[in-house]
Amino acid sequence: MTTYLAGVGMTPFGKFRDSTMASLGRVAGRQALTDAGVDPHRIEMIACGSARSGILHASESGVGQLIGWDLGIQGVAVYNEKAFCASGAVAFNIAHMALSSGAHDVALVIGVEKMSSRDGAGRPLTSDGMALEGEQGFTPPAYYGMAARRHMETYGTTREQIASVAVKNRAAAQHNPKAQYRDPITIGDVLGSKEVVWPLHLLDCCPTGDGAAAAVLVNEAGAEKLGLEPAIRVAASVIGSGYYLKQNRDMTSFSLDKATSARAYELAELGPSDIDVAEVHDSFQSPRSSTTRTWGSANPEPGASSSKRAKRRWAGVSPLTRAVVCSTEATRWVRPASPSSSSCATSCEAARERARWTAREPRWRTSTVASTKGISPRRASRFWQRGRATDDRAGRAVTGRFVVGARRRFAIPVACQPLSDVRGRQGAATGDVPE
Amino acid sequence: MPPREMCPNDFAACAPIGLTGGGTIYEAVRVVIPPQGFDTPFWAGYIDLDEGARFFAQIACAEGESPPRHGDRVQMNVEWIGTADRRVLAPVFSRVAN
Repeated sequence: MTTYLAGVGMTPFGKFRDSTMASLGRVAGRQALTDAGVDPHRIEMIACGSARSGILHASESGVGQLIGWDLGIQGVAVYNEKAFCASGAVAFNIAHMALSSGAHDVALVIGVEKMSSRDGAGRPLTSDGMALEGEQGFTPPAYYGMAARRHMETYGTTREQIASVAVKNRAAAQHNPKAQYRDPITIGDVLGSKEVVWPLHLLDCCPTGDGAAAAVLVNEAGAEKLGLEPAIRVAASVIGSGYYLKQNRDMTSFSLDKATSARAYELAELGPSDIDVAEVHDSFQSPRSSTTRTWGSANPEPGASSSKRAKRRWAGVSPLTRAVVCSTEATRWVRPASPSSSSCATSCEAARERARWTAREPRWRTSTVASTKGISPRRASRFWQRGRATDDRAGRAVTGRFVVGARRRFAIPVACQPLSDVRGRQGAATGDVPE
Repeated sequence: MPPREMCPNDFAACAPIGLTGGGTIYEAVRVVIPPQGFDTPFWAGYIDLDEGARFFAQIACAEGESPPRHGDRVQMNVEWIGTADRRVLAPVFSRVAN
């Protein structure tokens, strides 16, 4: 059977002092159910991804059940998934498999993480099997710092090129009302921020934050039962584990990423040239150029030129087109273009929400922009691609880089949703996550 | 790393082997913001041991000394690392002539 996306929801990302794993998941889950027009009691399974609930909050195996309790969903299969940064993507994959096989027809997928607080102090969060490394001072930034140094030495990648990824992400984040940090930054800001592990500075690293995202998935039978006509088809969802027997020790690329993205392209019957927008996850900026290169969307030739081209290509990823829905499932790095949070588990669902904005309501968004500017949608589209448009409602110019690549469907997130009061909430923890 | 108890190819029991302590730096970085358990910045990196394993460890580098680089030959020592109230004996590598 084919899997379809029926509804999505997502919290803003930030430091919500009073929030819990359950409250974050509930907020996103309610939005997704409302968006899909599905009553909670029609949900047949929950797949919930969260990476760090155990070590940070002593909530080990029942995160999905807790959220189900809050949402009024009972008596269903609950699958709790933990796969570090890919936890949300794995939950999505589980639901996709269950619906494709016909085992269930209606699924709620949730990715949730609360990173801004933990029970007591502790060592940096690392992968399983790394206790000895932790004793010797291993930190995740140290790992990515080494990967960056290797990339710089091997391919001639410059420090400024690495910093430009963070600059690009913030340029997109300023238009995303749900992003954790939204003030634009410059390469000078990045290089001038506190050094963490050279070459990585503070603004090269993901912030810690809280957030959740959710999606309602259905197959044909589920859509018929619920009277839905979902428009977004899941083209592929692929996950994989590392290659342990023959480890590729080159830290400038990742064999697992190559393998899973190649398989996803094969299943989706698409290639890198078909992808209009990709949202790529990375906790630290340094290997970004290698991951985009790894999964085939940038110049396959190594070297600084590749990084430059990759930078141009991703400089203004607009939050989506129909193709993103394919690519969203096609890689494990799909993530909001904004550096919204370190809660990697939620990242894939976040992309899906934006995918829906365009795929289901392109006319509305196009006309919104057109009316804003008083020009035709076709002409508006050209303007945006040239970087000359201004969103009057947002009260500021929006650079063309922001919407590069929106060729088929025209989507501007700032025009899709009103700016919320989350803008300006940066750094310090606030109260609970808004419902 | 981490060590195995059985060979994944034929499930024969693994036997410990001795290490010479010699190796080559694959990559090294200076951890400027030390994690919990450490007071001051330090150098650390991946060492490709002569016996084949890749091993993460701290690398000795005094103030003013040239930074450790890819390809540098190193030799393992055992030293105390960590904060004054929580010290552990750990492998620390020092650079030696190639």
